[in-house]
Amino acid sequence: MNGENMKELPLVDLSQMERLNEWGGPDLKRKMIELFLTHASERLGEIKDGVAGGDREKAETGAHTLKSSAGNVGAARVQFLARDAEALAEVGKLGEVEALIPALDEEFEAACGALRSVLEEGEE
Amino acid sequence: MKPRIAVVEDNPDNRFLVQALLEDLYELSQFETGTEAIECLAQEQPDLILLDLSLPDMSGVDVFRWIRGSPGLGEVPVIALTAHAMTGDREKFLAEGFNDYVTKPIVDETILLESIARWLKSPE
Repeated sequence: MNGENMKELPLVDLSQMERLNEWGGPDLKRKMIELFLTHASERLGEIKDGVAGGDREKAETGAHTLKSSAGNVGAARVQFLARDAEALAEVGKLGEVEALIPALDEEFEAACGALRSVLEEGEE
Repeated sequence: MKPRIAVVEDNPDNRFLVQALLEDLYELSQFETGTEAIECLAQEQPDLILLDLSLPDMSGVDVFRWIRGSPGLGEVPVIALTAHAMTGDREKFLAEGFNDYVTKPIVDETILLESIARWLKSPE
């Protein structure tokens, strides 16, 4: 899959939301979304700091953790981009990681918005 | 008495998810860093260890080698828990001596639950 059809992935994969519901009910789903909304921006910040400071390992760690956290809440596009960023950082291609950042920012904001809507729906 | 599982994992969302999946079946203790795990595991004497391979302070493989070299822990089954799902990784970590290798994000919880049940039953 390339960057073009990354957009074919859902903003939030509802099947992962259903899994969380199945595993731990609405409480688990809510808590996992809250953890993502609280911590994931720090991971995105680590990728940016790593790129800005030429710190390959920092960028890789940030991308690795963001990939995992995005997967936990079904943020499929963020997970996809973070996986790419991790693989590029692993081989030191920080310039290419930098080129992914605008898309990561955009998809991250969109995913956070969609996840907030899921939270609000749960409160209705 | 429930079997005791030590979870070594730095991501709060992954810790929370693992707890939701396992807490009804097992007695859990959680550690956020390799250092914390090393300080406490010998005293904890868990029946099984779930070990994230990407910890902030030291590599999961180094924690694993410490576990295998520790009196009383050398025979405890250790399952690697990782988002590093690269081709050949599974073979690499099994060759290192891990009892099993489970990838994150957890999509099919039965893979984790079955692995734990299998190694608790026949830890050799």
